[in-house]
Amino acid sequence: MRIHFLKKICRVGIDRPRSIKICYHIPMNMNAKQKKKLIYKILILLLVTAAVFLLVKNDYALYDDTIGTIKAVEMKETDSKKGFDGKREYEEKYYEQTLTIKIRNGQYQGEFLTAKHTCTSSGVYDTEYEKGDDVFVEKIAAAEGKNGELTGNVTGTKRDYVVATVAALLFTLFLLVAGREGGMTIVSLLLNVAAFYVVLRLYLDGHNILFLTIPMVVFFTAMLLVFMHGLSRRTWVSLIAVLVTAAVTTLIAAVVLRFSVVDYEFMEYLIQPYDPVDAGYIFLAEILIGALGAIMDVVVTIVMTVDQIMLHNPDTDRRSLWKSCRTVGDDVVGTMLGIMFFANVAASIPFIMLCMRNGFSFLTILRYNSFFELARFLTGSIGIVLAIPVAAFVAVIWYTRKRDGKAVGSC
Amino acid sequence: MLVVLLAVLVALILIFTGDRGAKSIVTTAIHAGLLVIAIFLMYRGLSPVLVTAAVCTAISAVTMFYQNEGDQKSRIAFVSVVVVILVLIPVVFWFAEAANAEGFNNAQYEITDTNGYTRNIGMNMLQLQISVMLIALIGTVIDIAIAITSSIYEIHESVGRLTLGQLLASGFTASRAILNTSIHTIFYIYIAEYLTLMIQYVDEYSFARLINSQSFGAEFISISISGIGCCLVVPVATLLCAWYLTKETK
Repeated sequence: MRIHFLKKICRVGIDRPRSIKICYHIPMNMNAKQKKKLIYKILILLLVTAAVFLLVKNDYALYDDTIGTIKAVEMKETDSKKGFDGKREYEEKYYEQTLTIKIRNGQYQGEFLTAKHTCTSSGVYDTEYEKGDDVFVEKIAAAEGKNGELTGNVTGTKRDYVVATVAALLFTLFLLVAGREGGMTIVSLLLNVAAFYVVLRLYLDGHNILFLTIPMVVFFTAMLLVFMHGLSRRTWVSLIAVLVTAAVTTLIAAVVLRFSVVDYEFMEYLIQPYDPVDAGYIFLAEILIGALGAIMDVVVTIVMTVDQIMLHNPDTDRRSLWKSCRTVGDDVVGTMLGIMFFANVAASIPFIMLCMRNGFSFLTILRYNSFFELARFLTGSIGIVLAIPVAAFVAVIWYTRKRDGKAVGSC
Repeated sequence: MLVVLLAVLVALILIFTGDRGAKSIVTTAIHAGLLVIAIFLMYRGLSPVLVTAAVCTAISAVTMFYQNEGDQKSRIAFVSVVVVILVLIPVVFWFAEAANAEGFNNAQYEITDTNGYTRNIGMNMLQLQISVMLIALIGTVIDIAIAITSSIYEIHESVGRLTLGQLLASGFTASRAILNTSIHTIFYIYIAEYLTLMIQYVDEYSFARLINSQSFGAEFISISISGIGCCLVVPVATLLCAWYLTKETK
């Protein structure tokens, strides 16, 4: 399936791109001690996750807003409406929930409260609460008279413990499966988030978002590559290739954008009212960031291929180097396109469904409502494909130039 | 604009890659077709979670047996992906349910009853949210599964007989570099997707409001579930592969 001479390299015992980034040394057999260690690690994973869950679940005291736990729910169907999409009718039930809530913090702590809440069977814009949910409560008032019952409004679910638990699970799994590299990845992701925060702050102060994103992209590419390869030749070659590919991809997007009419009305979460020029820059920044990870992935693979071939066969000529890059590129492009496609398009499914059930035609949805997702998928994929020749070109030139230079020198 | 970009993409694939690159155009087209079929089935009222499970299986089957050769390692990779998806369904369900992650929120200004998107659609938005989280991660999980099975086969071929323990250990070593790059790939895709939402957060949300908001909850769970799926496929694929190889050599 893969390239034959790379297999040979692999036999000698060094890494090959992607699948192969490994195998250099065959690890020792797992002995009883290691097995025990693994079991401990899994136990620690479960313990940490459970501890985070319990701690954050019960952090009511940290909030100034009143929080309560729903102890009982009474559901009453109040209405039933028909929705129509031009072909079929849908029934939507409306409910009124009477919630009995035990307050967990603040001046009313320990007391019970009743709240009314309306919801629908689909839950498009509303939430159906269940027993055990923690919710925020506002506008608490006591009814007239002695021992007046408390009433209030439910304003939302307390979700912090779910967020914390899923994060704890992810991070511990990462450390368990990937060890030190997993830790590095977590650090890198957190640094990324911090940097995005700074960039968005600066953007809100009136700076251009695209011009803020560019230095950030350069910095993070460099950081990640150094994490992966240290300060080696591979790092520099990869860095140049990634930046060139990202620049060309964004440029292609910018040129196409320049000559087409885009309705930013449909851009999700865009703050209204918006400025079309600014929205265009945001879109380009999205394209640049969205393609970055995939480009890096492909470039690292290609550069590693050239690196390994040159290590074991320093006399390989440019033509066959180029050819191997192409084969490796062929190998990765299929699954990479899959990642791009599903990660980008999945999030728009609920909205597509809402539109379809409201009678929008599928083509209209694709053209307007899913436009941005599809555009990001296409530009990201362009980045992936472009990364192959760019990385191959940079790597082949760099590696053979050094060799040929030496050859001349030694003559 | 989409048509132009599509044309550029197809042209680039045909110029810069060989036969298997060209094959990837067909694969992606089939993927898109499967997704459209899934959307139509959900639209007609089938349970979104069931449709998602079926479509994820079909998607990985296409990738493994058409894009790749469908040999033994592809088959093992395929089984691992299906196992991971099945394991993840209850996990995703719990997180999405606990977080009330379904539906649209007021950060999505334009989606309201008055703008023509009425709420009377008779469809379970929670199930739909679960489908989204599963479909978003399928691409990455497939990628990692293929990478791991091929590398274990590679080691097996080059070194010969290995014990189960050795195979397991090398599978885990193999996964490390792959996990790192794959996680970053989807991380950046998500960041790009939610850039506008993040602008809103930085602009007007307090930290307490942020981590309790529906939009952030749904988004964060989705990203994390993708990561968890990537981590889970590593031991699953490794174990299956190692088990099969040791059985075969006996």
